[in-house]
Amino acid sequence: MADVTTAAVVELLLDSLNLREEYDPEEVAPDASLFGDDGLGLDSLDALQLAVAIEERFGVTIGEDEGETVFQSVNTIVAHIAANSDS
Amino acid sequence: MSLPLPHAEPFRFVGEVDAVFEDAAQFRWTLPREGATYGLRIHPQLLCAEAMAQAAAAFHGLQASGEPEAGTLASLDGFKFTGHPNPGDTLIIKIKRRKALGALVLLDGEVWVHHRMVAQGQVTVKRGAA
Repeated sequence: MADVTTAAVVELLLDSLNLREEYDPEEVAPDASLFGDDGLGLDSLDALQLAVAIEERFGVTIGEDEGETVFQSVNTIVAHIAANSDS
Repeated sequence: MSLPLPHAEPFRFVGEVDAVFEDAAQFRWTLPREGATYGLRIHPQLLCAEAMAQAAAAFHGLQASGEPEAGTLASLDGFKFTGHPNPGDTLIIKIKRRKALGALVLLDGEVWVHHRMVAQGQVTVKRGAA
């Protein structure tokens, strides 16, 4: 399994979506929903940008049909990266 | 090759297909020598952005097997302009599929004029009718 941390994914999320002014890293709960008003309020365009950033940063692909599964929360992103990394 | 675009003259900014591959395509369009900005104060870079969006739409439509697939423009991002075309110039518009997720397809685009890149950016197309 890759040594991917929750903190690294939160940092990538905030940087790639330009959310630094809206959230501090410690405000992003790992199990919070990424979409909807109860969560971070991301939309499908954000998810696409984040998928590209994850591929570039971690070398892990997110399949066309995996978005809803992977982008439930930071925890599910971390789990996907860990499960699909080579190292 | 007929292009799967709803745009008609004078608002069609993609003229010909040079090549279409699985994940990339190249188109071209020659600006009119007169009237390219319709008498409006339009920056010529805007024409490049629109040409790139139309090329992305055409590429998206050409990728579908069978009947052309409907799509709508979802976003334009990260555009950089390093030059501009002049009336009568031919734009070479390059489109490359970068990533698809769910109903969205992200494409990288470039516009070249006289062997020089004048614009680049990202176009996101949403599959399906609006």
